[in-house]
Amino acid sequence: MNKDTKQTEQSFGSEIGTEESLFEKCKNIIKHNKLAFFSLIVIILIILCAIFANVVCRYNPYTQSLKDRLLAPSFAHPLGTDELGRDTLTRVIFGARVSLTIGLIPTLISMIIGTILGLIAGYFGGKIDFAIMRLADIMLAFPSLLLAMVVMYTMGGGLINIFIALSLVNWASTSRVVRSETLSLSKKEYVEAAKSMGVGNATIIFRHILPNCIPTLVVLFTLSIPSAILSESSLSFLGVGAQPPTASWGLMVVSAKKYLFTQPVLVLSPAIAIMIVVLAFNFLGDGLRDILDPYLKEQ
Amino acid sequence: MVKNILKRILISIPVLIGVVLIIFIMLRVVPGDPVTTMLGEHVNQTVIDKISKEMGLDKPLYIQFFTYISHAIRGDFGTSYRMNRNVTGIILDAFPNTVRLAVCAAVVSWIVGIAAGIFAAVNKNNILDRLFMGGALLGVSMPVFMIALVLQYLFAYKLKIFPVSGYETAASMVLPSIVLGWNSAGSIARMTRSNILEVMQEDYIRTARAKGLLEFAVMKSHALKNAMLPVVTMMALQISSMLSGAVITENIFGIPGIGRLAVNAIETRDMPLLQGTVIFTTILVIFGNLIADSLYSILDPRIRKEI
Amino acid sequence: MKKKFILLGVLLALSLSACGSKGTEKADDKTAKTDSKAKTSIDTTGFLVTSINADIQTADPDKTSKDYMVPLNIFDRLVEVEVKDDGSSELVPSLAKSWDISEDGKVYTLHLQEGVKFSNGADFKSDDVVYSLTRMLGVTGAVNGDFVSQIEGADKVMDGSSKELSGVKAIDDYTVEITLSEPYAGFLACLSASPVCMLDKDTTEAAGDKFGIDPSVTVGTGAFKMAEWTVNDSIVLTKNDTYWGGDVSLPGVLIRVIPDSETRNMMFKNGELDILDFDFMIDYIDTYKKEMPDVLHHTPRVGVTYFTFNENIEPLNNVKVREAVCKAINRQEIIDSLMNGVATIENGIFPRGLIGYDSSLPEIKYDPDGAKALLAEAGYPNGFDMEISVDSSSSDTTKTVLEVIASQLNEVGINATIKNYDESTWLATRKDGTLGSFMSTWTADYNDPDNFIYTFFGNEKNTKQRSLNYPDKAVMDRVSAARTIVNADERMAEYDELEKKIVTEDFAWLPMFSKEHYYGVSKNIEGFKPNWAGISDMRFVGFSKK
Repeated sequence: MNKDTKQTEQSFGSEIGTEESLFEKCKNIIKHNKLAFFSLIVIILIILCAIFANVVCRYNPYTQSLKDRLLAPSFAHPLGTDELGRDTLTRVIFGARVSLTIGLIPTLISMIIGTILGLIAGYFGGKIDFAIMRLADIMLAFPSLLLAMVVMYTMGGGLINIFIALSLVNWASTSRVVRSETLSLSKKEYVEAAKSMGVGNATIIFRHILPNCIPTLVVLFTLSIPSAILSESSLSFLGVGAQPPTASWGLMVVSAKKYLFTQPVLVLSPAIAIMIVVLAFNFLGDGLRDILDPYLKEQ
Repeated sequence: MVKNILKRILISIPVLIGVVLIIFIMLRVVPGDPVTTMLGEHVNQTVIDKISKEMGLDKPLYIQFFTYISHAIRGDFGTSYRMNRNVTGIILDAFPNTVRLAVCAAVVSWIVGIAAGIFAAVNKNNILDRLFMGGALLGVSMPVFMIALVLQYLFAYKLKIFPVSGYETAASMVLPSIVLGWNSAGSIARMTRSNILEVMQEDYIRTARAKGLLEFAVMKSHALKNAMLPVVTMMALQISSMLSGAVITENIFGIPGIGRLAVNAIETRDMPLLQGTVIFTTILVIFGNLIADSLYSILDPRIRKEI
Repeated sequence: MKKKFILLGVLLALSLSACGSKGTEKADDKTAKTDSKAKTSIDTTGFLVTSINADIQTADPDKTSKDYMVPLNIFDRLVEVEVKDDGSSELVPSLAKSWDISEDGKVYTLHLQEGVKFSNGADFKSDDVVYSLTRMLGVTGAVNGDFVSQIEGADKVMDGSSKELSGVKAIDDYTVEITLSEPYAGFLACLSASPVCMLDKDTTEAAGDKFGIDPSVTVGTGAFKMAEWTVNDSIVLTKNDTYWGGDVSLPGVLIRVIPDSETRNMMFKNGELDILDFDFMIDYIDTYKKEMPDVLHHTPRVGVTYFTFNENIEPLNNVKVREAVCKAINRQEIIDSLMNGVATIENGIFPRGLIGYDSSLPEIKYDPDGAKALLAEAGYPNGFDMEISVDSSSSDTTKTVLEVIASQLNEVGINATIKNYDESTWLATRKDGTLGSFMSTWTADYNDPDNFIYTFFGNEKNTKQRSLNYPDKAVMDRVSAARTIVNADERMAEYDELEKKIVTEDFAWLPMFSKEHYYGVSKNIEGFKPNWAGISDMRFVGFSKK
């Protein structure tokens, strides 16, 4: 992978000088980040599946049929059925909705919180900076799963509360990154110049600093999604995550793990689904970092 | 350097107070009367009121907070509602088990992670590299309890090499340590590998190579030490995620550590115990980060001045 | 640069040695800490090894309503229950070697076993009986007072207005006279209940809060002594050499705390556990039946799993709606598909195995169309919203059954949703009388129908505490009155009628099923005998291990 990185960097260097078409550029990027590109396709496919789950699936994920319980994989049920006779494939596909939402929404919320606080801390510095960073220190000091458990303890299980728990847990690291980026950006000449010209703080932050943080944020965002998905499965294992009959992948693995010996496909399908999505986001994040970093370095 | 470390310690104090405050408030928001929870169903209101008073729960929140802090400083975290024992005692009994698990897991993850990373870097892009990196990815992409289940099934149940649960003997610690360490090992391996590869591109390595030094010698004397710096910091930062992972691992393998206590406390709504466990683990994390920072400044003179 | 490496190496080596030498370090560490109770300090070779899925909260029988494994083995009761070979059970003398009951059924004179010693050497005398019964009612945190609340003066001790229990008198060292406030035919059975343990007055009083927590002061007359308790890890019981009831074959019992079902399952199969309790692991029974049927033992659980209606919640206060819900739930399908053949339909309040069980009760038939018709009749042709509440600490099976019930109710148009509560909130809400419908199991504490019907329909307070809010005062008064009927046949006839009224006319609760309790027992255990009522906690006194 690292070999690819270096080549990408070099090719970027040459590309900027020459006048290649956009298409050529894209082709080049894809060529040097095959894995990331492939992951992107996988993610898009899974998202499409999740959005059009009702169209893709033959069954309803919640309709029980006790006489069809624990069926082995067959043509009618490619991944068999679970202990309540629900089609596993259908539930895995519908589970993508829940798990992806859990991956995306809390991560997005925590990124937004973290970015705003990071920008404020880095740009204004002084006491505000100190206060925000100590708050971030406090949040980072909690082992994330424990803090999420405490939040779930206070508010009870359920999807919305998972969103809140995971958002609260993860904003601190974002704010640290954004802060340090803001710090270095606000020392740049053009920011200094803008300041001396009397441009408003908000304008500077949103026009000059934030856009330059975006690439980093995109990478961070992509790389944070897997941990949110895995955290949900841990919370489900401890009984404070998603609640039945909601089908999240984590909960499906937890409730099917007693069938590991007798009907492994029940456990393995959601587990592998988790694995694929987590890996895809990791690869995509790595790829994005390789693509976006050179720009950051140049500026 | 000593001054820097002292400064770090000083900064940790407000963080610590903040941690206690946040946990304290969060747990007080919980609906329901803690005393009813504690005494169960068959008790009348007069008894409940009497005990609330004894525990100071009738006082304003800020007084409760300061009482708690002043007791906590003296090492008294209150009495567990459900176990009728001193929380500090319960935690101190459980603490060595968690530490032992975390240390063993850390050792597994450092040794395996660094070794695999170096090995993969040396064998860049061949089949071994892919195998190692695949293993590393598996560790970071599976729910911890799935890894545990599969390892238990293979090594304890099928092959009968290790016991299914337990923590007393060295053999019984192997599986929990691997389960808990795998994730970190994966990240460390990936980081080690990419750092080494990056360092190898640097001019001084190229020079060394050009001078005709053997690959191994180059690796040993130049590449490793520069590649290891970020990894060292990372290892210390893993303390936090290790403690998170320990919650799950301890529950699966039946290890009576702090993670188990936290889960117990949540299941039985045992507020003092939960409070104590979270605060205690957090202190550990802060302490770990402190060590990491100090270590980093010892290892890398360049940043000594910056802290 | 080299220094860094050395440092790193040292660091690694340090952590390694910390890890590697833990075997020896552990021992030092534990001896240094005097209060520590490592399981290594007792040689548990030859001990029976069993497991529980969550640690007990206390070994004090007066302060727990569920953790009886330790009390059953380290304490004795005045009378015990013995299961005969035909499966029926009877009361047998224990610390009370005989008893006389007065004509009017109010005065019980107990003659105590002489020469019984507590494991700390103290003699067991009538003072201890008086103390133990009073403590059950009056100690702070007492939860089992109801078992002996029929004793005269019990209410005064319970509300704290008196320290003395007027109804219990020590006549001499070995005779105790117990006077009830009114005759109660089930009293002797009450004395056999798991929590009615005989404690050593002096030791227990001196121990205060430490009783039940610190093994060294938690002493009884039982076949075993509590030797060690490591929180969340294990409890060690060792043989009581001075046990009065005869020789005990087991050198001790190791009770391990293992929360994870898969782990327990693999441990049993690997021989790391001698007894496996399938109570929370019903799904595993099928595999065992196929692979290793000879380790399976089962015993009827004298208990009924029931589904409730809170009659304070609209529209469940409408009897037609309740009947409709009863008819919409397909109990047979649930049993066939989810219970792995361990359950049988129940149709009343008193389950099979209990005195007063009535096999002739009509079955509430599954009839979805009838249910829809009833709903329409009641004015809910389009159904209604219904909350089913679940305690998140209940077994997977319970949760799954509730999911199925919800979906069966949806089929007749009732919009049933499941709400999760953690255990304490669930209990507290239930106690408030505001919990929605739920499913739970009541297992006999003692063999008398009163233990069931009085708990749920005995008076306004009881029915509220179970979130039933049964409104018929006349019926509840009869339930209360039935306790005092001295003639056994008349009493049972009254219970039959009441049961019929509550279940088949009022549809105040839906009996679901009773279960067989399955255990896996490794082949080197002999004399395995589970609890008469089929609860998980059992006495190990007759067991032996090869």
